[in-house]
Amino acid sequence: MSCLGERLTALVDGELGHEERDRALAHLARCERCRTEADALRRLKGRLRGLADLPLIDGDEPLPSGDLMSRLRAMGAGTGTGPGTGPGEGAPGEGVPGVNAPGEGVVPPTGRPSPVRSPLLRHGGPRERSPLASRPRDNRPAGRAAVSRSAGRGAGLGAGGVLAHRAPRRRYLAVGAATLFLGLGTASYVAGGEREAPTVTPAFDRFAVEHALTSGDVPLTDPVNEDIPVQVSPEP
Amino acid sequence: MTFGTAHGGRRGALVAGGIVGSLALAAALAGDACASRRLRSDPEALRLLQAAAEAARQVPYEGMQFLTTWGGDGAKTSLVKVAHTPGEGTHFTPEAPSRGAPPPVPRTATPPGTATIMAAGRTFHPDASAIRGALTGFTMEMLALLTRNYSVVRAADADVCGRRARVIEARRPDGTAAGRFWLDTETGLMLHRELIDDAGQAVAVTGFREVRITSPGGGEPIHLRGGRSMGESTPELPSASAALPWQDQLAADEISALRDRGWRMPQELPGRLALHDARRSTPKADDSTVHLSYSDGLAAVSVFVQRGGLDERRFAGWQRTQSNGRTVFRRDSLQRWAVWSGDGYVYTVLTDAPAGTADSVIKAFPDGGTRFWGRLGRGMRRLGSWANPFG
Repeated sequence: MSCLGERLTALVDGELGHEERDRALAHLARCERCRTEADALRRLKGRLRGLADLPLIDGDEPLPSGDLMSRLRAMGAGTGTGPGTGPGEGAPGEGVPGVNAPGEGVVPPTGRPSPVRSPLLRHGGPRERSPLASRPRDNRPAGRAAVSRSAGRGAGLGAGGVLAHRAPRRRYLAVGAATLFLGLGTASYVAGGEREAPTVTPAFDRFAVEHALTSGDVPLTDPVNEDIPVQVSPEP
Repeated sequence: MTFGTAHGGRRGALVAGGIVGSLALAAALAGDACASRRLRSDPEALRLLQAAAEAARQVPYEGMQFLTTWGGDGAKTSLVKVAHTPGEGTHFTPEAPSRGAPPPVPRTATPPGTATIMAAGRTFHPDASAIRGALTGFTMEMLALLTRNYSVVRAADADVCGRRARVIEARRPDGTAAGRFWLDTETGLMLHRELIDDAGQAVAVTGFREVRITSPGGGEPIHLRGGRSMGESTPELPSASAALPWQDQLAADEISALRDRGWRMPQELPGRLALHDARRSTPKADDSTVHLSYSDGLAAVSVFVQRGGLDERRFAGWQRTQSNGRTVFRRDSLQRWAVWSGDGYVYTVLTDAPAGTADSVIKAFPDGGTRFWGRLGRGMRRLGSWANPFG
């Protein structure tokens, strides 16, 4: 077990905040045990990623859609960047000494360069790869992903982040519009129900006189008022 | 550029020509239809009907008036004593009916089992009232509806109520009689009015059972040929309440405003019935009753609309029927009644028109109650009115 515990995994996943990440990196710089463990974790993730990246490496499959690509870019930007460490701004000294060399991948124990690069370094090397290849799919629990995204937002996003958030924004807009439509429809249907109106009884006698006066007949009272048990309401 | 302008000009001319042509065709068709009906009307007959309104104001008379209607369970008659003083108005006093024999009404067929019914309550109708119709003549609106829907012609003179009368007939486009009027030859007063259904049967007759033309000062009666004498002078009448219709007559914009608020007030009903008068019992009150008067020039249909629901238990003795998915309580008494509720409103239809007309009116009246889209639209209107700070 490393000294950093869960934070080491978060560091490898790029989920730590700026300050915490700095502290973790500083710790790795002086702790061999944690460095080793971090390397092991990165190798493991690299292998898993390599399995998922095979079609891309072959180049036979078409690239994902632009929307997906932008989202993937946003993950990389949101999780691995901070003030002054945006894409392309990574200083060589930011790499973990002994772990990641500028422009190189993580060196596995076998000595063969891993096809996986750290998000921190992917823009610095001469063989820059697709961001898809340099970043695992976000298959983490939604809670952690959300936390990491919010942390990225809190730290400030670059242009990639802005682009990346347009798609969710559209989705939110669509969901919001649908919710509004359904809500209004439901509310209208409920409000359009039979109103609890007070019970009234037509003033038949007055109606008969009114009908006679407007139709020009003599004002006769219709016997409907006299022989049925209907209470006649007072005249208005 | 020149080509474009010329092309645009041609297209505009074509569109304008098409619109003008359509309007001309529509006007020609409508004009022909109206003109053919009006041309078939006898101007002399129309003049007599118009003069009946003036005669009703200027001729002093007294007598007994009746209203007889024929329904499925026989004829029913209501009687009332009338006395008119020019410049003042007409007193209506309930009168004990003479039982047994029906009024001397010319009728093609009389169903058995007639019953006579008394009117109740003494009332006074001032001459200053703007309401005129039927026995007191025709308003211009009613006359316009009559000539629009029927051909008004003279028929052979006849004797009615012991007096010589000119007979005016309103005929349908197929030539059958839909109504008849008997106008006193000497005074122009309308003595009888008859409404006839499609089968040629009289369904409602109103008029004088007895009439006497009095002197303007209330002195010696004017004895006319064939007139019945009812006494030497007009008896002193007790005080009476003025019989006036509701005074809040609704203008077109007020009707539109009520429609926007959910009140259902169709402009037209089946049978060429047109809305010609709308009144409200209490001005601008939500609990008021709106009286909608429809007519085709002959038959009169009143629809009373008020907010609320019906306590159906109180309609014992009424015929319970279903129409368009709603429960309608009907009763054929002296006149035809139909009552139903829906959409938070109670509708009461009252008419002396034939049963078929009453049925079609009930069916044609928009329900707006139970259907999905109707309920949705009603709800949206309500939500809008709740959200409107000026509503």
